Amino acid sequence: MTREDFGVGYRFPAVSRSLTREAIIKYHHLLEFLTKGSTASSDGGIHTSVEFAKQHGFADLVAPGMMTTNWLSQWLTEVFGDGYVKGGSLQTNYLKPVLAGDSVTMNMEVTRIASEVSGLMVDLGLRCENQKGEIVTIGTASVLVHQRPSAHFEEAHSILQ
Amino acid sequence: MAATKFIIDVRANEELAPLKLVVTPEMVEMWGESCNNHHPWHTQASPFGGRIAQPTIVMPILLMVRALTCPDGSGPFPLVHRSYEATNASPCKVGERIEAKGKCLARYSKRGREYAEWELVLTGEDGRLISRYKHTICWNAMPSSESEKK
Repeated sequence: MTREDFGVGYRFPAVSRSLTREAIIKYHHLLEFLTKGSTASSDGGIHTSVEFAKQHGFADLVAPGMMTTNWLSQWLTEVFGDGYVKGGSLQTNYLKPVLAGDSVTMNMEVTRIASEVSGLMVDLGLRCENQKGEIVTIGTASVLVHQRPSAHFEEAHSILQ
Repeated sequence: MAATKFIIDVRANEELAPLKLVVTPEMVEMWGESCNNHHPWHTQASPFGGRIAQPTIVMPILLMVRALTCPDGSGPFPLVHRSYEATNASPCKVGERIEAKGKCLARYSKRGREYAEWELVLTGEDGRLISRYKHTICWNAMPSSESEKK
């Protein structure tokens, strides 16, 4: 990407992640431990029991929606650095469940650019799709771009690949 | 004996008990490990002087704060996380003592489901704003009496 490419409508190269049962269970247990100091009462739900998930109409374990938010936040940190973690924002809505075995592709597009004293305020549209092309998570973000974007973005994207 | 309090019992505009905590290396490592986020700013060093926490750490901190007011959790009413909305005012440094203040912003019904919106404000010991977070949940099924109590 060159500086000239960077404008409203620019689409960042998509990034994909695969989701396993083990990853969902690990996430759930770590969140439980982090917030409660124990995982003692956390098993048996749609995030940890395939049988329970199937009884409730899901084909497999259901990933907590926050997993896709974490992936998007990580992507924003990689690409925009301090322009996201200091003064940036992220908003996500969970539209459809993500299941174990799904492959999720994250998409990011520039929707608005405004000049600020300290750089460019860039608004982004975010979309996570499963392998069927269904949108599972949709969102927006705002970031401040302090520096010439091209080299920074190329380096960030190479890290993610 | 203290009365049972589930998340569903919290009403709109009710403030949650505030929490002062240190954002420890273990917390940041655990949150990073949960999603394989090993960005060097969270694991080694950042331009802000040392390691910083992931911006999304506001979510587990909200759950910690809410658990102080609702020690019995979701109880018999399973809930679903619907949306995340955070403004990252200033990075939270690893090892920093912070204050977390939470509130139930709203309770409402939409398309036959009950919703609750929560707000969490994180500030550093120096008084600076770290993050403002809005967390929306819903209950897939809830007795009508719960709706009427709102």
